Amino acid sequence: MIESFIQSIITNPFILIKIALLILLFFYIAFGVIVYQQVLIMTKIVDTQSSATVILLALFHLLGTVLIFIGALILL
Amino acid sequence: MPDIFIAPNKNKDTNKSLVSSLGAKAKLFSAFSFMPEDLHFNTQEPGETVILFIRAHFVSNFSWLFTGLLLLITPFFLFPVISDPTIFPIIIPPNYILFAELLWYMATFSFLFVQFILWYFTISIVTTERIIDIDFDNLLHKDIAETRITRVEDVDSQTGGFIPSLFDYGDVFVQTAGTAENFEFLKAPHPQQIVKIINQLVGKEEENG
Repeated sequence: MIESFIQSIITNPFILIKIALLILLFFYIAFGVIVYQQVLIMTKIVDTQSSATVILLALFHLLGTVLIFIGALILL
Repeated sequence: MPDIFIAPNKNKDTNKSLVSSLGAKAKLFSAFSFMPEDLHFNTQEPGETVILFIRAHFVSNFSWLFTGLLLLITPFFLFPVISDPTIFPIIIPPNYILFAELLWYMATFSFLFVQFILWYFTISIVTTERIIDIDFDNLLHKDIAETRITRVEDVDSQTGGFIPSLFDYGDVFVQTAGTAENFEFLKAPHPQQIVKIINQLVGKEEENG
């Protein structure tokens, strides 16, 4: 199994880049979650008319980080 | 005895014009709101009215907005070079280039959004009772400080430089009694107005005892 993995790396070195990118993008999702959580906490501390817009933007951002991870799985 | 003449309430009109000139709603990009109707905070006491809502002036965001603009236009020059084998020696598969472009734009959006929320949530609130200062330094660190209006000893402002003078923004320093923390409203719009309003609140508190 290891031999076939090494063989696949030799034939397609980009597989290493894909693995590194997927690990990086996993942390990127964690970053998106932190951003979303912080926005939720801060909008609870101070609530303005535009709080919903900022929460929505944070949600889009989190969704983007998940989509880019899925994109890496499909495209690469 | 019936009143022959009733003087109109001039203060009410003055307050109305002040509210309309300074903006009474804390909108998405507002940096200064006088008596915002739609703003509430979690430790707000019953009967406590928000007088001022302050953020750094929007002009102070131009440095990261400019960086964001550069990041947005960079792929138009960078990726054609990378995908051209005559210029770039390593042949990168087209799907990797497409993904790199997507990742670049996503990372740019992340950068812009994080900078925006750091500006958006770094706020100062002046109420009839207290001064609250929230510093959202980075994503994982925030500093929330507050003091009673009665503890305020001195308020002063500083405006220096061409752009701050042009857009009327500067730093406001609130000195408090004893060992209590001093407050800084950095790059705040209309610093003179802020000093005036806080001084009026302090004067009113002193009158009430």
